[in-house]
Amino acid sequence: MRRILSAVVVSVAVMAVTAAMYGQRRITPVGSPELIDPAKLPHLHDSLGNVVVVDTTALVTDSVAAVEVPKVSKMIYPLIYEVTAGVDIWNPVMRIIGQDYGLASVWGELNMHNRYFPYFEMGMDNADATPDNSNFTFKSSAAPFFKVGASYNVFYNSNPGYQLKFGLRYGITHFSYQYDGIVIDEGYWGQPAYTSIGSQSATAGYLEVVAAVKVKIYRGFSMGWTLKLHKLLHEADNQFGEPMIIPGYGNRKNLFAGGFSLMYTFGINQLKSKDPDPVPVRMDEQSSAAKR
Amino acid sequence: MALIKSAYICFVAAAVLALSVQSCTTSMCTDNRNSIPEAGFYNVDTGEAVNVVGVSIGGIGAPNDSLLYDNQTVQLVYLPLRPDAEVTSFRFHFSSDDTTDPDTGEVMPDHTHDDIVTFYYSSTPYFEGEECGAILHYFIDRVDFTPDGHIADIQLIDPNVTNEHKEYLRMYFHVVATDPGEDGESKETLRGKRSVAVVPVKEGGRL
Repeated sequence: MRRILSAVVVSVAVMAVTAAMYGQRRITPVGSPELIDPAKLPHLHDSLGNVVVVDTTALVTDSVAAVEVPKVSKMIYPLIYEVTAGVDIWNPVMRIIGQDYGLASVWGELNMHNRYFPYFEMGMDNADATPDNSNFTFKSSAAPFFKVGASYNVFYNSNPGYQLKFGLRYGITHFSYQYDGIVIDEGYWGQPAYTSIGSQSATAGYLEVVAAVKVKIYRGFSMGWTLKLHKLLHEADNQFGEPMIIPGYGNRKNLFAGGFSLMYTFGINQLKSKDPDPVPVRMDEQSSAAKR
Repeated sequence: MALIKSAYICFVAAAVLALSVQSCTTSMCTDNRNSIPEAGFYNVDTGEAVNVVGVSIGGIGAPNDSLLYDNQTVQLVYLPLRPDAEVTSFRFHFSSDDTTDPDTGEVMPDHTHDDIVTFYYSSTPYFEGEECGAILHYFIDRVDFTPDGHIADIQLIDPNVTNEHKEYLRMYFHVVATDPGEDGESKETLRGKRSVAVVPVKEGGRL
């Protein structure tokens, strides 16, 4: 009797498992089942010349059901993750090799989720430029400029020591300038006129579209290149003409400007890891690990 | 591997950056590098634009008495002002005043009836751009001309002279009659002193 009872229990269990498997297979297809048009099925021939019909629909359905796509969290890093401070030495270096404007600037940005980077910059620029074959010398005394904006890190789920960012910045400056040594010779009278444009003041605002690369050097120290596509947005009219060079913007005729910065990054909510150059685990993995 | 990838990205970015900064500029000087008043010639009776025949124009005090126009037929002339002064005078000579020696056939210029046109103005330096440089803008206060001469009147259209191409003043000439020309076209010709020989401006252009 006990054997019979055991056999019945095993049989019921096998039936239940089989029914469960069968039932699971029936609910696998995504969406409403479609009628199969035999004409659309691929036809193959085996070695004996028999026609073999392949039901690719079933294959796709099974493969989708078989693969489990892990959920990826959009934000691996904390909201307030790091603060980076940098000094842009592009203009000082360029000035050594012949550029006739620019001093330096310092900037800072906040790392939010290693994805969004609010940005602030302040600096000082001056100029003393006499272009080749020109009839004037442009001068502007040291004047401050300010920029605010934000960037987006393309590799936001990667190591924050290496970033490729794109962003927008708005810059504004108030400065004075003058043109000295102006020589006007229209060629007929043979007697040129010598004149100058005295000190003028101006306020200018401009927009920068930025592409920036950051590379970690050692611990918190990094360096980075910046390419700026910029455009003047507003400036005051002047009866003597526009300034040739604008603090923080550079020469007004250039479409692009460059930047090279040395920077240091301060961690605020660093992820805990013994790895000195960590690539952190995802937040869902962290939470599951915490549960364990 | 990540470091090599990053270094490669940085190298490419730096190369693009350097090339872009060096080569990409947005301006070239396509304008005049000087501000020169342009004067159009007109018939005082009809108000129509005319080509004045045989006109010579030179600045008074110009080096070697060089001429801007030498016995030309023109409807529009450029009269460059002295950049180092506030008064500039031009001498207008017309070939219709010349006489021909009956014995030798030599043409004898007669400058006794030349017209003198004098500009009074002030100038302001203006930065036109890095490529065009600094220029002068002029403001013409007034224009004087010889009374009872070939020029009947001068109309100042725009006293603010910049490097923009346009007619800043109109000079009206005495033109008294029309004779058929050698080529069959009508020609307004001189009928005595202080009038000029002209050719009507054809539709669509000047000489």
